[in-house]
Amino acid sequence: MNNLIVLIVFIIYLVVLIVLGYIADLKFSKKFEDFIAAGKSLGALVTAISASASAESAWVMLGLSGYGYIHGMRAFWAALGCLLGYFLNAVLVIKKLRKESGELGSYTVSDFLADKVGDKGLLIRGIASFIIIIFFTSYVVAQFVGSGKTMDSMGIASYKIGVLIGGIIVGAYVLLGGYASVCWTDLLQGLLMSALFVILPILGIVKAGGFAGLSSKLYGSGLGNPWMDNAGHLALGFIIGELGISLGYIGMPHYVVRYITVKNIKEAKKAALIATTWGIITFFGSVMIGIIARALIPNLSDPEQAMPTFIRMYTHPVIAGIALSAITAAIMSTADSQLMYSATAFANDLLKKIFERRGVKIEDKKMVFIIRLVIAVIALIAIVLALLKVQFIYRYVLDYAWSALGASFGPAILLALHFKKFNKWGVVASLISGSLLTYLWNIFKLSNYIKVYNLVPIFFITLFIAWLVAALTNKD
Amino acid sequence: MVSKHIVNFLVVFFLPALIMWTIILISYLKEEADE
Repeated sequence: MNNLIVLIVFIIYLVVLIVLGYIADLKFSKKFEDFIAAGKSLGALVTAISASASAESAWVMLGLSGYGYIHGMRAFWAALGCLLGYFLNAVLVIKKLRKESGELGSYTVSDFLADKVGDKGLLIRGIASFIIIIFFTSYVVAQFVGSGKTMDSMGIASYKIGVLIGGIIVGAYVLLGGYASVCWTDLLQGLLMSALFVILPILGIVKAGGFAGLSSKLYGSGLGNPWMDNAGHLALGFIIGELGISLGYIGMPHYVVRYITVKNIKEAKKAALIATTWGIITFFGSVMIGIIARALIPNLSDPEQAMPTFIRMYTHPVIAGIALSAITAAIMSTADSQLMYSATAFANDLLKKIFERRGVKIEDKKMVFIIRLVIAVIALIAIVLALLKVQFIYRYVLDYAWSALGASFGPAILLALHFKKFNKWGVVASLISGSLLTYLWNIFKLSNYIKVYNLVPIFFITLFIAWLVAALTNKD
Repeated sequence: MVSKHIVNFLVVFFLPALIMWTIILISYLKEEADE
């Protein structure tokens, strides 16, 4: 009976997503620019919540709460690192990016970088699209894996059925309404996530016997000390690494693109404030649930199951249904954005440019058909890959996709916005250096020797290389 | 013990978060006023 109620709530949620996709289809699928950017008509609330929900994947629901379960108060450093990312974007990126991309007529991050440095060819768009398609497809796989794991642990469906439900629903509404349906569903999903992160910690603290009960249950575990590691040493490398997560947000294409497509600069600035508010609630809630789960269910073999297990054991079936929807929402809101962005990178940044260079004019209807075809192919590949292998979400996402994308695009965007002499070769250097160094870092297992999250050194090395290359090749 | 945990939380997460949020708010309000 309980599972039936959870399932009914969950099915209602899935139907709403498809309906939103259908409405977006009616409004935004006639013109290609509408399909890939919602006609640059989105307001502050949709922009802020959809950007934030798309940046926070299954990791914020399962990974970060699992982190709270393992590390206790130390996990708040990771939460602060995420929030710092929102702050850096608000201060350094959002306003200038909206202003300049508006003047240049850019629709994507690759478009903006190429337009800004006057690259009319395919060099920047080609490299950027290649990086995006490779990493975003693997990122989407990780999200579908999260969908399978969540439904399995909640007792709703087997892993494979969970992957199929996640993959097919996301694929369907992205195919229907494109970017607008991604943003609208992300708004709903983001609100659902933040609601869950308000309800669950309150419920958990009550179940644990208040703050005093929670503290006494964790007493002696060392989980209440955020400054020291388990051996009693100052956790400085750990703290720097966690704060370094913030650097990934600066260049995360599917996040930053929301601020290119927002209606105007005023709405962009408002969106930055709303996004930060959302981030405070979400990151706090996720870590807190992990800590509470550790106090109440201390012997979990898989820490990433802390939140689903807590929900199953301590909440009413209706809340469990909403919670399942919210966890799946986090997964879907990231998967849909990355799916949409990969397809846009291929269809808009590459194919459309190739056609334009050959003097071929493709009508909007055909371009919309082409991008829908690309979405279907990428979704299908991601579903098959997710069905083949289970991945460990936290390390997988942060070590490869997050680092490589953040280190490639972040320095390029920062320099494009703030360094007047930045040029084409600087952008190319940033894109190649960020991805290549992340790959080499993992191949040579440098994390065994340098105990800091790899994005921190790679980001700053790439920033320096890109600046140097631009300075040396500048002819003015 | 409870108060120590709460102080740790305030120092590590809540105060930095509040400072960041306030800076963004002030910057937003300032530009609104300028316009």
